[in-house]
Amino acid sequence: MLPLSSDEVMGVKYLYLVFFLIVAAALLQADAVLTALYLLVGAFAIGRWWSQRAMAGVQFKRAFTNRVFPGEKVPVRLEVTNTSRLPAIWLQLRDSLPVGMGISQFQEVVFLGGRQTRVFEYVLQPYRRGFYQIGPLSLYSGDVLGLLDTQRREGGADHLTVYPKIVPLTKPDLPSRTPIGSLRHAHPIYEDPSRVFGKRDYKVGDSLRRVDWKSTAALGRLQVKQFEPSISLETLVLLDMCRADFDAQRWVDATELAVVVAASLANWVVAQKQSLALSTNGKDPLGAAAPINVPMRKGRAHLMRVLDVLARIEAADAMPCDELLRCERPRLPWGTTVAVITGKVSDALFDELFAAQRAGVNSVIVMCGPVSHVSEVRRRAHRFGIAAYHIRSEREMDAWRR
Amino acid sequence: MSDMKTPPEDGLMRERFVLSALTRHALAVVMALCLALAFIDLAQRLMPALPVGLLAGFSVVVSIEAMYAAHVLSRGSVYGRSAATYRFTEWVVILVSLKLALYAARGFDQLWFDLVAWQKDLTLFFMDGEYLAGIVLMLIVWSTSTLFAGNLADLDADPGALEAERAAGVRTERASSRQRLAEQIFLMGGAIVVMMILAHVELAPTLTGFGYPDPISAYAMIYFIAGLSLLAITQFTLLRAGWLWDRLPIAHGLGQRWMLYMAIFLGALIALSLALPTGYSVGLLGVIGYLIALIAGLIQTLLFVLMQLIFVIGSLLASLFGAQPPEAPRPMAPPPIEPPQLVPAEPGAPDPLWEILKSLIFWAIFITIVLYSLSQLLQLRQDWLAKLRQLPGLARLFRGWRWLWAQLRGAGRKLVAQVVETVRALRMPVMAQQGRRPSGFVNVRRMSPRQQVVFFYLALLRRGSQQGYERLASQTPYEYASRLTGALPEVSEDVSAMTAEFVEARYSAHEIATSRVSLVRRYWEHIKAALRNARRRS
Repeated sequence: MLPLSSDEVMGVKYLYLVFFLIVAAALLQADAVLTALYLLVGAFAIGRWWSQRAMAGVQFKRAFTNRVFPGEKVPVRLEVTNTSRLPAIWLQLRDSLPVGMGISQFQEVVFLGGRQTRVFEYVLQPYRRGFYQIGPLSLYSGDVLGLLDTQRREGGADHLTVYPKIVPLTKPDLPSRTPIGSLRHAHPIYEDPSRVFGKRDYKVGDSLRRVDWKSTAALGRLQVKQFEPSISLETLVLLDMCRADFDAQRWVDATELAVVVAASLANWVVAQKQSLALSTNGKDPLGAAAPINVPMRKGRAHLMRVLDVLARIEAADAMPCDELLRCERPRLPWGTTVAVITGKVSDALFDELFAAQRAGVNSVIVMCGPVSHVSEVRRRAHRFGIAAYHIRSEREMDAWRR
Repeated sequence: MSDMKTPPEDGLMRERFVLSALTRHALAVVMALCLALAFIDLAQRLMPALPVGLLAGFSVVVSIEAMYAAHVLSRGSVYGRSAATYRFTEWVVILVSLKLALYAARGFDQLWFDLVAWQKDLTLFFMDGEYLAGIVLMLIVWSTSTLFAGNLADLDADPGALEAERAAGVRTERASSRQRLAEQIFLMGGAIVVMMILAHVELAPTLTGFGYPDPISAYAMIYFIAGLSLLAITQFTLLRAGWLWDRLPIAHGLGQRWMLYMAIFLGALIALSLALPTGYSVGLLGVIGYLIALIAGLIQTLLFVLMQLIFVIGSLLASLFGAQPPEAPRPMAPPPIEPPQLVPAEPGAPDPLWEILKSLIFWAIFITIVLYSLSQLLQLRQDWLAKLRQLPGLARLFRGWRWLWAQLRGAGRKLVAQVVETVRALRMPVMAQQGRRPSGFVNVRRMSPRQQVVFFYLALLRRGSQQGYERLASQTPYEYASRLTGALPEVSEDVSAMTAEFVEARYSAHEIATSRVSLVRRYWEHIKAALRNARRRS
């Protein structure tokens, strides 16, 4: 049995006095005793009823932009309405806020008249990506006499998605073997017949299919079309969020860096109007089962979906990266580029990457945070024909910006 | 936001604080005076020569002095003297002043006669009855005021003192001070009620009826009103101290509004208390008997009307077949329902029915008060309730009550549902004729989380069907989701997630968290936007 609070003790003693008056009223049948009894019981009952009614009539609405980038200011508008005709003489509002929002919580003590609406505003400034819960809003109120415990009511919570930081890249150097796309390429093997960039005189060995008959007729000598080589870069960003694959002491920073790299690569791929997919073994706070896959698609809307996942994802004791790649490999079309973003490259991962390479998939390894034996990994990757990068901080991504 | 202010630092706040402290102390003085007056009134019945006005005035002075002394002692500034010396001196001054005041009331000539008597026997002649009564009175007033002052001083939330507390990291236990103060108010209230009882018992043989206007009752009423006001003000002081300690922004003018609504609340209460009936002419059993007789009389009247109807129909049928109507024994007309005898019979009572109605209202209120107070007390004292439930006889009684209550509630709900259904059925044809839809407003916030999830999913189905993505009766939610995903690929994730949430809410038994609702709402907003875009595209 919980001990009574001081207000409850007071309520009990108040009721003792009421009972004393009841007994006195029953014995004496005196007007004054009965009037005093009505006064005391009325104060208790009406005070309680008032505070309960006023509290039950309070409704609120929270409005804010629920998707932002780190560092952006988020004005939150909290509209509290008393739908009851009875005023809430005192109402304490407390909106719980997560850590890293600039303010720890929003609190106010107000008077809310009957049918009155009041608007409160505060500004959040998140500096880290994440999926944050804003609220719940706790409301506290009580009776005027303080004979009963303070009432507490909890409202609903909303969520704020803070996207990961995006580093604008210009040249991340992702390999591709998929011919005919929208990206210009240097290798003539990927000539795209839809991208004519000029004409020249016919040479022996040129295919007759390349002859431009209109130009030939105009000039009076055989002319052939010159095609620009192009590739299509279908990219799967494979983000490893297995805690064990990162440095034991700095896994928090390393995984955050990995997310920034993934988001930056995704942004670059979509900016190049290429298809993008995401696969990760991290934990989604919304409860989606791992691994989380976002299918291959193009466009800004798709990028926002990818960023949504990247904003929410958390490092976890999940399946290792090689298993994740093994799951994904059969679904990848020939020529796809897989950017594996991880903190550790194991033998098993190399085996999987080699198998993917043989299946016509291009691979890039991006190691994030402190990684041991980097040179060894690079040497082995080079042997397999896989590009390997090591990024220890965001600044080191500048190599992809030049 | 504009009328918010951070913890105060201006002189105005200090003034308000002083004013509020003065109000609290003034109320305490009023309460001490009421107690003193009740005591004087009682004592006067034994000693009619007691100077009422003088003692009342002296009580006010002693009360204020006691509060000031408590304030001085709590600050530790006793001009170098110890507290005991201070108190001793204080009491010597009070006693001497009281004696002199009594002589002032009687006339100082009496003093010269008494001086001679004191030389014979000081104890016997110095301590006369009036003086002793005065000492007892001053003791009551002084101790009450000192206790009030001590608790009020602990409650004070002077901005400067709060800052000092915060700097020291030590928070004064104001809640327990207020609890002590409230207990003191209740105890003194009980004492006044006892005095009322004693006065009533003492006066009872001389009473000719109810409602003898004894002054103690008036003092008691004033005491309780002042006590409730003091409780309300100290509650605000306590809350305000907590808010200031936590550095919470407090709405401007909250204190004034508190006072205003406290005054309205207490005013309404006083009006209600005075308006409610306080006397009865018919005893409880008489009222119950009258009610039973009334119900029985109504049933008898109904039966009489019914029998008359049957008899008329029988007579008509008999005349139709040409036969003589049978000589059926006519039912007896119901006897008139006589109001019970008024107890005691008041000569020249205006209307017996009005008196019965008043008695009925009185007993209904009285019984409601008793049951309400009992239920509230048991709600607060759960340990008592648990012990009561363990008693064999009472346990059966509780079970029986629970069963009866469940039956009554069930019947009530069915009745309400039936009435609602009937009203709706009656309204539907009218609305169909007018081409209107029922104007029922669905308040989503009042729904449970499970109902809200289902509500949003049903909204999806409705909006989907309006856009041409109607769910077939044969489709499962997942089949419908895959169809919708094909049509709206940009929200495929939202559709899948929302469908999963719906299936969980619809078919699971476990509780659905409120946070899930906000997620579903978010999914629904995305899908709604996608459906709107699809309509624009088409």
